[in-house]
Amino acid sequence: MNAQEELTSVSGIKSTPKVYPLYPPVSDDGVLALSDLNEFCRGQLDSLLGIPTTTMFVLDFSRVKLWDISAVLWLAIALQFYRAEKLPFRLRLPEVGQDTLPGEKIDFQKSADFLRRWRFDVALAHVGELEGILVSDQVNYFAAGPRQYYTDENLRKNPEGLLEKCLTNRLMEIRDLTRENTKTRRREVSDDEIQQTIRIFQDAKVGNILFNNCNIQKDDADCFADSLVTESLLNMKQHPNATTGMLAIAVLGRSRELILAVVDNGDSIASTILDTYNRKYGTTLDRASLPAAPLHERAKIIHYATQRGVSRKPPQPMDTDEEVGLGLTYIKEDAIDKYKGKLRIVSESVQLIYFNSSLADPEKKEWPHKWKGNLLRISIPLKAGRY
Amino acid sequence: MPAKQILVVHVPRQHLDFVRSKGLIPVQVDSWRKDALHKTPLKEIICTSSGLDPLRYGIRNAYVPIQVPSDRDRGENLLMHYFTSFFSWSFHKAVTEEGFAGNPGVHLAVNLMPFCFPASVADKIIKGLRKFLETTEAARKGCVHITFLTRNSCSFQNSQFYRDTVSKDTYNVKFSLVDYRGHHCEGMSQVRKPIGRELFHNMLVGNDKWFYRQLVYGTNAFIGHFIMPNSHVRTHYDLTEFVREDGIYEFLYRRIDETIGMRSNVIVVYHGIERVALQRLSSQLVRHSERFTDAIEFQGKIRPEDVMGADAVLILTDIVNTGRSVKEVYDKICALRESKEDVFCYSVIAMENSPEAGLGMEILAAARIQRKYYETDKKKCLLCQLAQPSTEVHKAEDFRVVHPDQLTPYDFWEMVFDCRALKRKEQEHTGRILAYRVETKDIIERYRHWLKNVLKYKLESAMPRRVPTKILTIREKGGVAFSALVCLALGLNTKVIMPVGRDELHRLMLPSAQTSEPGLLAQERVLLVDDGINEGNTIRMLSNYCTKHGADPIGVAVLDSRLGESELKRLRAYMGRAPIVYLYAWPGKVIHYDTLKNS
Repeated sequence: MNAQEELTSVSGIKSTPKVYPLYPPVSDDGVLALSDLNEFCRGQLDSLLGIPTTTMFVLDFSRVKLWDISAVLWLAIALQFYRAEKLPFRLRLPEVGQDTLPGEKIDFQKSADFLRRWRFDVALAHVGELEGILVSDQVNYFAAGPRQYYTDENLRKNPEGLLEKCLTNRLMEIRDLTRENTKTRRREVSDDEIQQTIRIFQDAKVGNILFNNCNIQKDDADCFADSLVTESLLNMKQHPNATTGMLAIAVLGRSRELILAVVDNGDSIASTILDTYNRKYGTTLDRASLPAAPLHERAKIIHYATQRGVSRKPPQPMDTDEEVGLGLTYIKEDAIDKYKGKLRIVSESVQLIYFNSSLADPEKKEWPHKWKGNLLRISIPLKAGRY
Repeated sequence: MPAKQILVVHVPRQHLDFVRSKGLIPVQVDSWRKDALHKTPLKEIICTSSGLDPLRYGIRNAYVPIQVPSDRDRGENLLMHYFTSFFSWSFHKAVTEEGFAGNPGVHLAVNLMPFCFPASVADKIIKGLRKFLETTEAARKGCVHITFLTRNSCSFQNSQFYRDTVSKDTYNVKFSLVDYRGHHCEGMSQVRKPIGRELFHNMLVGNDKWFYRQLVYGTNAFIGHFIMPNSHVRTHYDLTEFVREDGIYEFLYRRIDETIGMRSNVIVVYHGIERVALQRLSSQLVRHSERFTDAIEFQGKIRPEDVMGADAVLILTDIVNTGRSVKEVYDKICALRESKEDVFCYSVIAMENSPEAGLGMEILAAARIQRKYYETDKKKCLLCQLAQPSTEVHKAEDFRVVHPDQLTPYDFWEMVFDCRALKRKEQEHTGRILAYRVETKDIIERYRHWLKNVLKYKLESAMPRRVPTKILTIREKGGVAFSALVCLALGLNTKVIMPVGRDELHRLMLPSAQTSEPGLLAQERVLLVDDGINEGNTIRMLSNYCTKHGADPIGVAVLDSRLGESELKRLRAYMGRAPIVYLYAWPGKVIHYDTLKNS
């Protein structure tokens, strides 16, 4: 497919193609974090929406050396939205070329390796065909690229450290948790996929891996799979209308953290909890006006969903006054009290960061996003282990 | 029968889909053999956790036959309602059944071990229980003791509802938790007491026949021509994997325990090519029993102080062939101890012709496999005489090497002979009668672990980095069984197998035939699989099916092929030059029975 055809198929406009690169901001050391993604979407992509254009925008991520896995997943949800909004774009991903500086060669090889090993193509499958998403010289990026650093084959015999152990047990892959419902022909979060993911974590005895490599107490380490991962996956099922749901874990050696990221494109946490919230506080907020509500109001609603004794489900006539289902609360308590980590929730254009104590109020920030969805990012510090 | 009963209640299989959709995720309970929960030690575990006297209690199992609530009936909190009915039925059963009536209390054990669930789901279970307790006066009056058997007791201990319920006096119920990892706790207590490992060891231990079957049929195996320092061998079992399986250590411990008798202060000296397995076994022995004081590896020499102070020495080895290498260890230890008494040799496996005694020592083995080792003299080694490709073995990894020439004719026909798989004049699914054919199902079943290794090697060589997303096969026993083997070899889920009936394949071969789903396989990388190629007709039909559903096959994988080179070329050309991977090629073409009869 040539550039003209590519452009026509994406935007529906026939005209001379112009290619315009857009560069996401990355930190000096080449890290693409959630905040960088926010800046990129808000500052560059959102302003292009709704404008008829003959330009093909190349979202050029080729300078990214290190990826935050939560940013990778959230990027996929964002791209899904921009594609639906008919923004003509292609992705350029990091690759070592002839003009790559010798000193940076390994960094970019590792960066490309990371996307291949973590199966970013699985996430991109929710956006569309790879041929229609990647720039033409990278359409075989995932099929043909070498896996030099993040590979399990070389490590299988004698893996050492958390990352290698996780790689050899196939834990380091983006897991797509949705499947097409044969009756409704819609994709939805699937019990089969959740079961499969939990089995993979159970079979890999991830508790033992964390215990042996990270100096996390055995009981707490066992809870990672039994409790934290399971709770996060079940939580995703609570968000109505999700057609995409993904989970991934990664080790950030630089900050010595284990990251668990879960994203979906369903209704926001705030919208699903709203009825309960209105009853509790006597407010009359409705779902349509939620995006326009002030930051503190949206943050308060999401924070309310993490409180003990709160469920998103409407009360049933047969129920007693106590509600059940404290998924987000347990995730928060486990992440902060048990693992001394951080929980970051992005939903309804708000970012809440919990740390230090699960009882403390979270740090609140605007994180504007035009797409529907929820992101949970749990980071667990790895204090004295081998990574 | 003891006067009092503990009722162990289980979620029935028919309810698994329902409970899974509500957050109780079924996972394999891999450290409990299937029937383990029904054995006596469970009673001891429950009694230990509940503070009951095991001698005075019996145990009964029941699958709770209640109706699963539907969305229409109960709104959203279906799991809670399910457990209300679950406890209601269990309690009713416990107070009305013979053996329970007249008891001072009701003891229920709820088996949730097959499920992984977080605290928010434990909330719902407890909420369901509370609903039952609140509405049933009998339950409040009677003393009820409920034990939850769980994979991870933290799910309950973290649950707000569990903590609230346990701390309230409103309910006349005692709670305890049993954790799959081997501890229990009562009520609110966060203190977990260990359940004696003996109980678990007793539960897991199997018999000789079971051990042998686990080794021969359930363990990754390598067959070839392995050249060892003192012998040539044909078969090697992956002991590193084997000793990790449930019950294997327990079996070996019991046998070793019988061997050393009542002796204490025993030093374990391990020696063998499967170092990791032996290291694991030795350290388990030391951890398990105080009678084993230390474990050391024999690396050509041994320090006097290691073995002189011990009351007994156990030489632990992996596989005994000639016994000469164990003899070397034995002699060195005996020389240091100045006495041969209390030095024992124990091997996990011995060959059929390995010496039990005769080298001046006795070598006991947990299993004696029905294969022989050969002498290093080429004239005495059958494998050398048959010119089987050989591999020199210096470390355990060397056994894992697959030779490009495999399967050799000897490999293939030995399997056929072992499985009695050669059939004569039998009618096939296709209706034709061949003079000779091989029934592959038993071969695949019996040799799957080895064939998996060979298949993996061949597929990776022929189709590097091309992992199929769909495996298209014929809906017949052999095809489906071999497809499952391909999945095992490539680490794929068996869900990728797509069996198609022969009728449908025939129908689509007609030029005018249409398919209702032309794009069914459009996005897939399809591998065609059958157990064998006789004349290539089935593969042609599968290829045609694949093409008509929007994909070109990436290759073919079969166990054996009876096509000559030119026919294979033609078949490849038919499929757009996709590679054909076969493990064994017959030297001659297919002979139909009719042809043979006429000639």
